[in-house]
Amino acid sequence: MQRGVLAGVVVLLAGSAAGLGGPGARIGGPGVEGADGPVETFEIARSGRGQSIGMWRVGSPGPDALGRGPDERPAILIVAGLDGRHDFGTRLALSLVDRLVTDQAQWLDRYTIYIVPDLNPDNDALFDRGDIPRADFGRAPHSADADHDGRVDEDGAEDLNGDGMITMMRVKNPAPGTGLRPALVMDPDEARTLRAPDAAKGEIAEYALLVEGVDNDGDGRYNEDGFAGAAGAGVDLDKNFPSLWPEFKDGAGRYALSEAETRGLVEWMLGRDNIVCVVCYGTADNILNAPATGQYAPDEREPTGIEEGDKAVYDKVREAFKEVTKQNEAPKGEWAGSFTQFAYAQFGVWSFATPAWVRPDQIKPDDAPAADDGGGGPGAGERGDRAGGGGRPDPQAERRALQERGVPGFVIDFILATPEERAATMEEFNTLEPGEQAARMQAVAALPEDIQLRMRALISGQPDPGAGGGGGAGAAGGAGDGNGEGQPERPGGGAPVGGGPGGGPGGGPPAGARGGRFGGRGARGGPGGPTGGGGGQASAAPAGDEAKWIKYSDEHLDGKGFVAWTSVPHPQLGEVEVGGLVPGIRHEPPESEWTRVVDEQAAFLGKLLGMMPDLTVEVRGVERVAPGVWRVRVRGTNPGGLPTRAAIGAKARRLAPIVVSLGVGVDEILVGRRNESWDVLGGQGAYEEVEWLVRAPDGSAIPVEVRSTVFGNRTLTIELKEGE
Amino acid sequence: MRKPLICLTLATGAAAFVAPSLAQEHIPGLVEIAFNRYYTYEELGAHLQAIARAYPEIVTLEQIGYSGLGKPLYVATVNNPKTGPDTSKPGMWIDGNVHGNEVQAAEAVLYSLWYLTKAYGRNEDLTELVDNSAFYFVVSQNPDGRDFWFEEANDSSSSRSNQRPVDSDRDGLVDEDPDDDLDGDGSITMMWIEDPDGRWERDETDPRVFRRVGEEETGGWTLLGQEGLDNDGDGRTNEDGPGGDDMNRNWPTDWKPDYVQGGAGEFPLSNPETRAIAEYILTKPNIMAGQSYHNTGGMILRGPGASYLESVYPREDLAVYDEIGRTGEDILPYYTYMIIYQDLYTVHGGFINWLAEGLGAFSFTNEMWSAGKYFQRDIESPEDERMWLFRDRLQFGQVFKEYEWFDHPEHGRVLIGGLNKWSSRVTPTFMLEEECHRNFAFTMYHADQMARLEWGPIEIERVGEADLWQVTVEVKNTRLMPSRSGIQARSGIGRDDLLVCEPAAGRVAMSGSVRQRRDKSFSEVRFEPGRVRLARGVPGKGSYLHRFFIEGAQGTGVRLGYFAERAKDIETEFVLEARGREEAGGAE
Repeated sequence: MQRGVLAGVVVLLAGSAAGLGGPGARIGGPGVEGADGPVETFEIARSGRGQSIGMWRVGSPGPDALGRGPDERPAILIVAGLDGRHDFGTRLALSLVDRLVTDQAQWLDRYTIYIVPDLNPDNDALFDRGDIPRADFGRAPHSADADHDGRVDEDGAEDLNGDGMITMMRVKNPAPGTGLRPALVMDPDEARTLRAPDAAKGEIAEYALLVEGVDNDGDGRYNEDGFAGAAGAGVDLDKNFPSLWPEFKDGAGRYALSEAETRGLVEWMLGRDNIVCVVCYGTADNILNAPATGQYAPDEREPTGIEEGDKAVYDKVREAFKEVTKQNEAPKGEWAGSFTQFAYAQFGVWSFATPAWVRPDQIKPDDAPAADDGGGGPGAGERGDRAGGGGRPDPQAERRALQERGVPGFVIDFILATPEERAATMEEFNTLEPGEQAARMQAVAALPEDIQLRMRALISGQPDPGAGGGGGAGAAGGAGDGNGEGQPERPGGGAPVGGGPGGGPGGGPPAGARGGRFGGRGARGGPGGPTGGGGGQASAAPAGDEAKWIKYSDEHLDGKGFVAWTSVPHPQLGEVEVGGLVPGIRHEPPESEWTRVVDEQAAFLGKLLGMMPDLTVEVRGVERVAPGVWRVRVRGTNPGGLPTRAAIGAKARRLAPIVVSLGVGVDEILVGRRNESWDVLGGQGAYEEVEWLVRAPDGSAIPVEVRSTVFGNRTLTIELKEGE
Repeated sequence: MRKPLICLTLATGAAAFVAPSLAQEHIPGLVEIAFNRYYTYEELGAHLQAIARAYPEIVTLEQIGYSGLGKPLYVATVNNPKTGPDTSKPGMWIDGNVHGNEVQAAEAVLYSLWYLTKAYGRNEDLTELVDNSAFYFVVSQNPDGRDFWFEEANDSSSSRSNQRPVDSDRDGLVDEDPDDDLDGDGSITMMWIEDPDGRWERDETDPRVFRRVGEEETGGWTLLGQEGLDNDGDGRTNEDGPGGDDMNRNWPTDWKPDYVQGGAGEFPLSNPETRAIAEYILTKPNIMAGQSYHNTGGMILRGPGASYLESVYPREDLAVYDEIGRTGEDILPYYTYMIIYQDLYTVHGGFINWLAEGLGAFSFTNEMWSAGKYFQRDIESPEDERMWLFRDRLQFGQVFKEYEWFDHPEHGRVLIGGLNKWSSRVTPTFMLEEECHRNFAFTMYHADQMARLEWGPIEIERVGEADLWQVTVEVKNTRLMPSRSGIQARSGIGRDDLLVCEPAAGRVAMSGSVRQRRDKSFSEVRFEPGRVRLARGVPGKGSYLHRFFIEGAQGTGVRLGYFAERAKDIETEFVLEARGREEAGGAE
């Protein structure tokens, strides 16, 4: 960590935030940094393109009554700007620097708040430079050959209608040869949106939906490898952290912490063992959407939600948050590889995430009935990159998802196999020993119901009902179902559309057997077919909550949050319509709301600070048992509202417990160990004691050293005289 | 960071060197290295430099970074630039000694580099292999752990980690309670104390032997554990020694934090050694095979490291693993082909798991040395007497420290002694060369299975009277491995293979893959029909058939290329004229 870059960092960050349409980086404050004040700035890392990533430390300078400096007091860490689309988080975090000093000054002698307002300055710069139209693209723009075709960043999105934005394009009944197949219909309830057709009502798909742009490299896929509006290119910093890192997921990076930004943050954090709690301002929420307890990765140790022992803390924080913000709904997240997941399951502290601002209908004024949670809900769809290019089916992800549910390998192989492979497997099955056959059938009977359904359908040669859209329906799988990852259909046995045909010669499946990112799997030993050969790409799936955002735009933004569909000639697709939600609308509150949101979050932080754990240590009894032999007792009390460490912190063993060490020779201790420790002191005045029987002359004094990375070190003295 | 220490200065034709050699003839080399002894890391470095100086036409020695204690990390590349740059050929990675105490692993790597370089130009098979492949050698991933094992008192299993200070017992103090070589013999052995209630007895005829007594019996001795003191006075002995990260748990694929698996490190690639190596490997997308040497137990291990990753390996990849692994059992007597999670233990974030599952390269870990090799017979676990025969009569007692009394500050009179660090995991020096050679031979067989592509017959037919030509091409692979592994295809690792067809005039109107030459059904490539992407490449010991419909005048020349990251590219040309089936005349 370097000092002395204060001015540079402030200018850089203020500049980048200001460039995104706001009048300044901060809301309602000029900045409070100054010599000897409670705020100091540091550079903790440099971005991939060499920009400074700053950290604001808010806490009284100099040693406190216990001799602790700001880095030795219990601390909260605030991180924002992981996703470039959530620029509001950056602005909010910077504003909180000021607010902490003006509104929450009473805590600054006891606790420290670290604020990293912008982890992804390269994303800001990408749009600031104006090289790229405004787009729904929040990743770090670090190059990779996203579509594995040997060309890098060659097919980004284009602003076809010249409005300075990348929105969507819809294609009605795409012409043959475009590789597109209609998967959606106009939603009769909101004609500006599309949804999956309802086969039961006889609806027939008419539209394909894509991110605005042309197929620059002529490979039949649109915007699949370039920055702006499309998934595929760049690194999603919030998928690049080590805990449950989703290795092959689009945007996850070459390895966990492969990016300078994420690694820099983590390396800095690992040296800050006084952090007890993390708040992340970003695109998703885990405060209202309470994390599950008792759910673990396949290693059975690493939680995918939270430990049972931390539930009470999350409940308490949620109540405080709701009281302040009145929010009753917020977008859910995908946490594998996220900062929030890392901070909890590996760093070992309570870890909260919130967008801070939500749509007005997601706020419940007092006791009003909850907002309608219609089709799809906020779901992961809000986070999902909506480009069709990113929505190709990902067999590896599906495989891992099935593995995580405990589905046996042979079942997964079967589900993900080509029809030919399946046929071969079924033939093999018939040749197995009866005992082995029975064992396998038992294993199948023990599967979850939906998997059994899939197995049955596949065995009888029908399309996979779990694969999102079968051959017959032709509906876009995943459309509006809230999974929002833009999961396109897999072509069934019908015409080859969507991804490429399956395997090729040598016993591979016929065309159209199974589309997908990398073609189908050839049969045993046979070569695969060409990749993406049979067609372009399937349609993007609407996120499911478009109508609500359109309504919000109509009611609160004079309709300016939506670009009306207008006809535009497309060099490859003929006439298309361009329109849709304005990029950023989901994440960027109107300016009139800024102050309210900052007020709320400052108040929420105040509540969190009011709950912080603390430690007092005292000598609780000195008793002469015999001449020169003493029983001594030391008590540690936590007067704060939260325990001294999270249940995950104790489990993760990353931080040392509070160690109490008696300063005499081992031989002088008759009963007890020299180093005793307290794993955790519950909040609200809960205490623990340690006791020793020690040999020492009357009237002497014994020092007791208390060591804690969170609460600092201190030394007490035990005076050995009767009648304390 | 990377700087070539030795630059290529000579460009001598390899073929000129090739001279017929008899099967058992000694191949003289320009560098003499004895393989009946072990080397410090500095000595290994000197050998690497000597080899690089002696064979500049095929060896490049690079320094890719530093260990935690500042020792240089080397990669030695063997490649013949006259047959193309290293990344134009399928690459094999060979390393060892990520665990500091598993020392013979480094000698195995050094031997491989040494033998391969001296055989180049003298042995036809190995010359041909070098001309068609690239090899990357790292003698030791863990120089600090290696040297610590040699220089300091250790037992056969200690100094596994690197030397990064870790507070192993979480008491806020770092490395404060290591083992202590109380008797000053350079090894950490055992401490025994006389104890009427003890559960061990000492053999009456051979006082070197302690045996556990039966359930209800007492034997007079208690094992206190390994030689040491409670240096920090916390009531525990030897609980926080130097180091703590197991670098073979520090790789990105399926990495898990320390509380799931001790020694994992703070995050994937958190160590300077693992990071430098990973960054280097990521610059070599041609690496298709990997071998990492360890000790001990005589195993040829493949992934996965955890049961829940079993299905990551597709059937077609497993067929390749099985074939190579079983052949390895023949090349390496007393070695068994096994699966890490199933036959050893669960490993998260292991090195070859990253190579195999993260990068899709066919990779093994060999655990060198096994008890069976003592006696050259199949013996599961030899009984004491036979072991002592070996130690006494073949090793002349050099692996045992006689028991001696010691006045221990905490326990009083204790007996210290026993088998020393050389006793059980390290190949006895007189058997080292053979074990290195067999392992080297196994890796050469492994490398020889990397994809080798050639053109099959090209069939050209005119379609009707028009200037439209139907051209059926075939790409053959004569080796076991596909040009892209099943894991690569499934997970989307690396660039797809490309089959490119470029007429000098006219265009590729349509194309698609076909199953058989006479097959009219065809898996069409709708876009860019002249630039076909193949995620699965060409299968091992198989071929890929593709049909192009080309619009062009008779006599038009057409260039055809197959481009693969993990196989040598092949290119050829043909002319649009009806001639039926014809062997390709193209050159590689």
